[in-house]
Parts: sequence; C-alpha cells; structure tokens
Amino acid sequence: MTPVVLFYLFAGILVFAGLMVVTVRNPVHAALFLVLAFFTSAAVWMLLEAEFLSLALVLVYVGAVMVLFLFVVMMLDVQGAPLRQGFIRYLPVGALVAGVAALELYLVVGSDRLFGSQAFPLPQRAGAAYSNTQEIGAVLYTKYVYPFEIAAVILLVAIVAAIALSLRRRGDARSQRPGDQVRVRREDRVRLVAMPAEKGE
Amino acid sequence: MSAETVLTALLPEVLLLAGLLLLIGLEIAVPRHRGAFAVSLLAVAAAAAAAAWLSAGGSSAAPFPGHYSVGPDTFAAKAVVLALAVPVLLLARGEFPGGPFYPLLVSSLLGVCLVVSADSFLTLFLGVELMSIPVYVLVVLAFQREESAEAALKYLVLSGTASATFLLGVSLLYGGSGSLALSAFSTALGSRDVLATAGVVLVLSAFFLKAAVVPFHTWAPDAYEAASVPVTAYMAAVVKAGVLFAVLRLFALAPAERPLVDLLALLPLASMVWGNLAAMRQDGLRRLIAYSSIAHAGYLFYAFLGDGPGRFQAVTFYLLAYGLMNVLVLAALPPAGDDVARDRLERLKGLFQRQPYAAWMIAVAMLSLAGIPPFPGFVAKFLVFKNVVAAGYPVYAVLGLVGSYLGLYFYLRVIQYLFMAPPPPAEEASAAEGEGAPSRLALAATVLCLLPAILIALFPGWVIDRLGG
Amino acid sequence: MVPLTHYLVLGAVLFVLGLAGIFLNRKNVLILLMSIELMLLAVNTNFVAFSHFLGDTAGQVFVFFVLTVAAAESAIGLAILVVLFRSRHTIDVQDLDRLKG
Repeated sequence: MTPVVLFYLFAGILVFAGLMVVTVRNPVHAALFLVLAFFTSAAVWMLLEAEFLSLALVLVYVGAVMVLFLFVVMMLDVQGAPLRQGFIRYLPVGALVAGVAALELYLVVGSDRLFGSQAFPLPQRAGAAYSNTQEIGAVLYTKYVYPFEIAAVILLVAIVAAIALSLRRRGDARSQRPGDQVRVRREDRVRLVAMPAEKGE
Repeated sequence: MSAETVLTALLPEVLLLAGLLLLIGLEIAVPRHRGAFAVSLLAVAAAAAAAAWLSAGGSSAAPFPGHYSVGPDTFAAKAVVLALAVPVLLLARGEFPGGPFYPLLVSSLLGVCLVVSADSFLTLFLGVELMSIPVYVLVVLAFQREESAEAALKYLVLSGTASATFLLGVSLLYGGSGSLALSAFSTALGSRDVLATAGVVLVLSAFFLKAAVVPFHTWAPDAYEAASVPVTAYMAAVVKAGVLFAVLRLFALAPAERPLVDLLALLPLASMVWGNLAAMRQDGLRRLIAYSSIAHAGYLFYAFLGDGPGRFQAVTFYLLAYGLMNVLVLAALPPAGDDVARDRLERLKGLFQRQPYAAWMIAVAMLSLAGIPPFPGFVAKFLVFKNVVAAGYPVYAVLGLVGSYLGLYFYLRVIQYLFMAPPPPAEEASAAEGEGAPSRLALAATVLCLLPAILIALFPGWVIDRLGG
Repeated sequence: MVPLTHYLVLGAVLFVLGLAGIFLNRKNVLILLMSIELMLLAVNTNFVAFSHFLGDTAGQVFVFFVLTVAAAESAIGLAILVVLFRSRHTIDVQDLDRLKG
C-alpha cells in the first residue's frame, strides 16, 4: 500500500511544482520550483526502480544544471514584473493548446486497453541483490559504446560553444605571463651602475 | 569485425573528428594562429572524398549493429552533404578569419553524418542534437548585430520544443514496440493502432518544426536573417538536408498510409503556398531565402508521398540541386560596407551593369530554385512530382505544382532587379559604395557550386544512378 | 500497486504544463528554457516507466543520454542569454516582435 500512497503524494507535488514553474512571477521562484519538480521526479523514478537515474537526476540536474540556472538568474539581476507582460493576453491560446494536447495525450496514454494492467502486468519487484547501476553500466560501455562516445563529442562541442560565447578578449585586460616571469634573468631587472659617491655637506 | 572494417565504415566521421580535435588543439596551443580555415577545409574535403569513394566502391557495413550502419546510399548522402559544406567554408573565410566558427561547423557536419547513418532512435537523437547545437551558436557569431542573439534563442527554444516532442513520440513508440530501433517507426506507419499513430504524428511534427514547415516555420526567417551570410548558407543547404535525411531514415522504404498521407500532403502544401506568398513581400535577400526554403521544405516532404525506392533518390537529388543553388546565391552576393546593407534586395538593382558575372550567377540560381527547365531545380521537382503521381495522388501533385509556380513571381522579380532596373542615380553611388568585387574564395565557391550544377543539369540520369538508393 | 497508465498520465500532464509554459511565457527566455526542461522531464518519466514495465534497460539508457544532451543544450541557451543581456541589458524579448515571422 505504501508505494501507492507515495506515488500519489509525489505525483501531486510534481504537478503542483510544474504548474508553479510556468506561472510564478519571479524567475528565481520558478527555478526553485523546478528544483522541487526534479526532486519529486527523482522520487517517482525511485519507485520505478531506476535508482541510478534517480540519483543522477538529483546530483547532475539539481546539482549542476539548476545551479547554473540560478547563477544566471542572479547574475543578470532580472526584474520579475515587466517580464510577465502579455501573460494574460496569451492565456487563452495557451490554455487552448494545452487543453487540446492534454485531451489527445489522455486518449492515448489513459486508455486501459493499451497500458492497463492486462497489457502491462506489474513486473516483479527486484530482489535485494539487484543493482540498477551495475545493470546500466554493463550495457552502457558495451552495447551503447558508440552513442556514449557521441555524447562525449556533444559535451565537448557544448564546452567549445559556451566558451566561444562568453569569452571576450578585452583590450584592456591585464594578465600575468608566468613563463616570462620564470625565465627572467638577473641582468634584465637589475643594472649595477658605478656612480661617484655623493658627498655630504 | 576487424578494426580496419570499422575504421573504413567510419572514415568520413573519423576524418571530421580528427579535424575537429586538431582545430581545438590549435586554438589552445597556438595563440592567433591562421590555420583554422585550412585545417577545416582539408578535413571536410577529405571526408567528402572518402564518402564519395566508399559510395562508388559499394561498401556496406554495420560497425555498431543496431545503432549505426553504412551502405552505398548513406555514403552518397554523406558525400552530398559534405560537398555542400566545402563552398560554405570558402565563403566563411572572409568573415571568420579564425576562432570558434570552424570547430563548430565541423562538429555540426559530424552530426549530419551520424543522422544519415542512424539505425536507432538513440543515434538519430544524438545526431540531430549534435547537428543543431553548434548552429545555435553559429547564428550568434554574427556579433555585429544584436538581433542575432535573440533569433538564436528563438531558434533554440523552438528547436528544444521540437526535440521534446520528438522524444515524447519516441517514448510512445518504445512503449508500443519495446524497441528503440528505427524500424519501429516504419512499422508504426502501417499500423492503425492509436498509440502508433500518436507516436508517428508527434515525431513527424517535430521534424516539420526542424525543417520549418508551416505552421511551425516562424523561427526560420528570423534565424536566417540574423545569421551572417555563410551561416545562412549552411542552415539552408546543410542543416535542412540533415533534417530531411533523418526523416528518410525514419521512413526507410515504408509507404505512407491513408490517414497520414493527408497530413504529409496538406502541411507541405500550405508550406509551399505560404512560403511563396510571404517571399513576395520581403525586401531582404536572406528573408527571401528563408521563405523560399520554407516552400522548398514543402516540396521535399511531398516526396514522402511517393513510393519507397524512388524516394531516397528524389530527396537526395533535390537536396543537392537546392543546396548548390542556395549557396551559389549567397556566394555571388557582392560584399558591402556592412552586413545589413549587403542584405538589401534594392542593392541588386542594376547589378548586371556593375558586376555581370555575379548577376548571371544569381540569375541562374533563381531560375533553378524556381524550377524552370533546363536548370537542375526543374529535374529535382520533376522527380518529386513524378513519384507523387506514380504513388496515386494526382490531385496532390497538381495542387503542389500550382503552389510551386506561385514562387515564380518573386524569383523573377530578383532577376528583373538584376538586369532591367537601373538604380536611381542618387542611390547608385551609395549602392556602389563599399561594394567590392567578390573575393577570390567567393568566386571559387561559385565555381564549385556551378560546375556540379551544370553536371546534374546535363546528365541527371547519371547522377541519380550514382546516388544509389 | 500503481499501473503504468498512471505514470503515463503523470508524464502527459507534465509535458502539457511545459508546452503551456512555452505559450504563456513568450517574453521571458529563462522561463522558456525551464519549460523545455519540464517537457524533457516528462518524457524521461515516460521512458523510465516503460523501461520498468517492459523489463528492458534500453529506456533507462536513453534517459541517460537525454539528460546529457539536455544539460548541454541548456548550458548553451544560458550562454546565449548572457550574450543577449550584455548587448541589450534586458532579457525581455518583447523586442523580438520586431523579428516577426
């Protein structure tokens, strides 16, 4: 019984958080609600025995991507209020699109014939010895090694792209050149000059 | 499978990847180096040559079974895409002396190659993303104008929405079939199951968005206009080709069945009509090319009404002819003082008197894009509409033809500007001002577009045979 | 126990919320990017649910890659946003209407 209660609890929080993400005024609040949505989905995935992904979602997504979002929100210091103009104007069309999409999706995924307990009986709970991480790791580096390598290229490209966008070589920037500093010799810096001693009065 | 077979099958990708790593290494190790252009040109040309050679040799292999496979037709498609990228690179030399342009372009090409060979939804998804992620940034790199960043964000958001829609469709197909193989899509095409249909429609609408088919086209004019000339050429010729190859991979040889045929015919039809009508109102060349590309996306998707075997040849041939002509227009466009001025159609007035060669090149490209015989665009359109008739949809073929000739007006208007309209005297001075002759590399790019175009106009049959399928 | 349908309905609701977010927040690019994240989260939930009920790890591996790509994409989106902010000092894309297609 407990998993059922937990599922509905988490699903409720998740839907609420999702709703708040798209409707709150302040982008910081939206980002924080998105964090809540990620946490609760991680819990839902845990119920589905996808432990590895569930933890990866929390660590990578909440830990890195959402922090990046918050970082940008705060760095840009955006004012919430003016950005919300037009929300009311777009509300009818948004609600219409969302309503139609929801109805269609419900017709597909909500039908018991397709995805009910007859078509998809509940799978056996995995035993205590089962390791989800091990199972994913076993296929990730064998069967899925090529997609894995491509994902590496995508990340490399993303790094190049992000640096290209945000790195600005400013003309007035000053920086140290450690190589030159190390290589410098005594003669470059110190010059001994012979001067006649000054005579005091 | 031996390492040699794997490397041969992956040769174009390996060459591109080597070029990419070399470019990044150069950027890190050698400050203010000038080798980026040469390295990327060499890598792309070598990859194109390798793909053409492997296609002619008829080799096929599946180095990563279930994810990635190659055959003569995929090699031919890769050769077409990579060959289209060569003149784009020549165009870019003047605008981007170095910097991140080259690694981003090469990695996007790597994504296109991956899409062409994808066998599972996973590789297809990764390929499409690897193809488009660098393009968002390429659009922004035209730093001179502040619209660039906005247009790139618009493109990114809509493209991200398309990716999410694609993935939702894939998740439904995965739930229905239990497999991530691309064949799940072609099987679902023939199925009357509501789940399969939903998956197919979601996946298709995602690709409609990525190819800028009406009503999902709004990002294209902005992005094409905001990007700098070589990037516009790249998006119009190569990225569009990549998206269409993804759809070709999805359909494989399966025919389109009844409820879906209407979707596949009506939206592209709307795209042709709207693209051609909206193009008439444009006064910037790149927006004109964007709307023309929306119309052409319509013709390209029309090809999917036709039967499987002829489809691959028709689409590849079309992409080749269309891509060459788009790059030709942008390569022949005379440089100007600033980017916005360069774009204005008004500036083309009386170009024939000032630069006859450039005027002729633009005219040839316009006539070909309009689909007038004997230019290659005509053969391409003919192939598409012939297949549509052969598949038993004569009504759609006739409607499509009517829609396509709506475009005549604005293509011919450009030609009228070039040859007949002398610029008003006051503007003549300002038009000529800052208008240098095209650089030598841009001239080389026009030649590289023109020679293959003449070849495919004179010997279409021979070219179609080489494209396999 | 919870049947598959309920997980899928949850995914559908989240996806539709994300879609509505795209339509409602045309001016605030930050929220647009968050809406995309929400849609991808919905899709991932679908995949994980199918993977569990089909007893097949392929779905989970797919989610792994979707997470990777989505992280890359949002990093790029935020980088472009920073560029936009630098040139315009606002991320209000009301001016986007100038580029109306």
